[in-house]
Amino acid sequence: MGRYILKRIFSSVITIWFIMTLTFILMKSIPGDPFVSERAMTPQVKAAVYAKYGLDKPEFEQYLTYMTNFLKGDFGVSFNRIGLTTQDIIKGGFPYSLKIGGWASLFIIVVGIFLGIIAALRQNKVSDRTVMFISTLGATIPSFVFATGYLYFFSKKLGWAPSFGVGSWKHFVGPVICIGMFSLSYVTRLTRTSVLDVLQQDYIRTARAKGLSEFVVIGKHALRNALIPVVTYIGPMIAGIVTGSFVIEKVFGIAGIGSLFTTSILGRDYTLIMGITVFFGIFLVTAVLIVDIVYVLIDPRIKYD
Amino acid sequence: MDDYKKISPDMWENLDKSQKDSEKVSRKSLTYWQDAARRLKQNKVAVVSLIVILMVVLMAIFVPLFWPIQYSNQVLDFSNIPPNLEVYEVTDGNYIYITKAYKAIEVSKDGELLQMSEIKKDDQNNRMYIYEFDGKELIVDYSLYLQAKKEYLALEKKAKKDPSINLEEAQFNLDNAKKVEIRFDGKEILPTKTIRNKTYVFGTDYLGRDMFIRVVYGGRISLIVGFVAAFLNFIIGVLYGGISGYFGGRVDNIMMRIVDIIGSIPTLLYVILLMVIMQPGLGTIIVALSITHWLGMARIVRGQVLSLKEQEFVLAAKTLGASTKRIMLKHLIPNIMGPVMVSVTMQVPQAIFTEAFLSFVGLGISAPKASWGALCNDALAGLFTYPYQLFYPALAISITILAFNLFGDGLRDALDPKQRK
Repeated sequence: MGRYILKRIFSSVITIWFIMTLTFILMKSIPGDPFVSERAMTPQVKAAVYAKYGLDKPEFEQYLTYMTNFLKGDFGVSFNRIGLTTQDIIKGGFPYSLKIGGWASLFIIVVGIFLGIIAALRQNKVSDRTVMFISTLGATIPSFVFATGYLYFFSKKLGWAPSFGVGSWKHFVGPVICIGMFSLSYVTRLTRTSVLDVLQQDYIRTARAKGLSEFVVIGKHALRNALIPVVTYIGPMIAGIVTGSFVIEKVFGIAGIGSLFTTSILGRDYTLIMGITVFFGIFLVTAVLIVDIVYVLIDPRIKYD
Repeated sequence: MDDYKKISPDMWENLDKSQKDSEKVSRKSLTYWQDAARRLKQNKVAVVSLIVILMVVLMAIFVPLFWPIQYSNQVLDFSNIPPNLEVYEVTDGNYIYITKAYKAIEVSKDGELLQMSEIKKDDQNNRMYIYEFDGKELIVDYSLYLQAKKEYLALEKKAKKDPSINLEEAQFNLDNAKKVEIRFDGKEILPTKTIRNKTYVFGTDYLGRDMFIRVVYGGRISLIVGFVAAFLNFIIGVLYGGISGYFGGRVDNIMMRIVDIIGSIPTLLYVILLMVIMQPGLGTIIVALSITHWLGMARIVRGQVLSLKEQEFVLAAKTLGASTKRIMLKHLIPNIMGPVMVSVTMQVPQAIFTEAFLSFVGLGISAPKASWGALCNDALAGLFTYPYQLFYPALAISITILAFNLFGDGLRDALDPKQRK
């Protein structure tokens, strides 16, 4: 098992290295350089600027500087707005995104598992069909449609929810629900399938034959095994929440890292885009790695290869 | 021993040839695809989804050919006109519609937009527009909203000192306050009735472009992106997975490790990066989606090829001297088409989804072209005032993606060999 974990850590490091290199290559493949479109510069000024940002050095040396800067935690500076660094963006926006993402994860896991169990226990009955129908809608309707619909009905028509910004808990209800809708549907379906699968196992029949109450059979014997596939989905779920944040934060006017990222995309702020991309990449790869390790720890049956 | 002799010889007479199969119990044997089609037809949800998909595709292809209005036509006079018009009858049979910008538009009895009325006098001090009909004055008085807004702002100031004031409620009241009063010939008039907009069935956007044709046209773009990206993914995935699975061993190991590494990169981030670096446009979106979304396909194909290549028919083909290319194209690939088709069907909505996402973030198709995502993005700013502009493209995208997913589910069930009877 230790070997497996080491192997996973090693492959995650490779992936992060790959992401950083790919980002560097893409950054270099943009025609011209950050200063090419600026007003005409005298050769001296140009040379000075290039020297300041290290652009006069050979590409490989630039690559090494870039990598070491990342290792030191320096994610680069904005070249549209003077003095703004990627760290500022991350520090400013990430707390909001983390708050929304954290609550959304909790919401997805609790509600998704609950609905999945209900659907499985009442297979092919009305409640099952309703849950499955809603989860189909949830998986197919884009999150921006959900978010705008939510705003329209709950802010405009009913006046229950504030329409933008952050403040009281009311501001977070909409973003959390809308960001989680897709993954919620997925978790619901996953739980339903896996509970149905587990309920047919022999040990469940044994548990029932022993005369255990249905609550104990489901809660203690069935769920423990049924929820293992759900754990594996947590990695992709985090990725879904991160990308969801690009749209949701834009719709709800929250200055989280997702909306700051989209703003820098629209402003073609290349260095910032690259910095945030690498940050997201590292974040996601690490999250998946942690989930994988936890998975190994809780499921003794896993094959380590 | 000689019992057979007891049977009289006339019982051994030959039957007529036509009666040869009279005792045989059989039905026509179905091929894999015929059987799948039969099961697919029994699945009502899948059939309805297929019909919806076909309708959307046909509309996207043919409606722009004969629709009188171009998707890029702008009629600024008729900007932001909703599909349902609340009209005022000013004189007998003469209807007007007051836009959200307090302009009067003359409407025919059955809902065709005629023209924008000429403003007789723009009284900015009293916040009213004055028009003339039949020699009488029609006054559009929009001072009410400003009054309400002033009160709200005053309340907001007070709320800073006195936290007990409920600002949210005040905001809500402000949003739903009566904004405009229409007076004709000195008397206030109320909307007579609500009629469907006959000129623009889905209304118009902020530049006075027909929303209906824009949604249809956006469907064209979204569907092109969906189908082409799915097709390219199919080609890349089948070739990559096929080669990896067929050669196996070290080749397979290296090729699949590459897939693993690419797979662990958050693809959407890289689609975004590619979109930033390349010139935005239809081609770029398709390329960006194609080079990041083929991994799933490659994995499926590889798995299938790995198990199929050990079977006897491949050995037979090899013994007969068939080339690698021939074995791949004629023997292996046709046999893995089932799962691959399901995967292709699922790729289409995913590509549409991603394109909508990119356009919504602002990285997609640029104006005057439009995809569903771009239309939704355009409409976002005016969501509270012109919700219909968001409703139609959102509905179109949701229905299409839903139909593709349900059809894909049906196809998967139909092609599942375990369900074969």
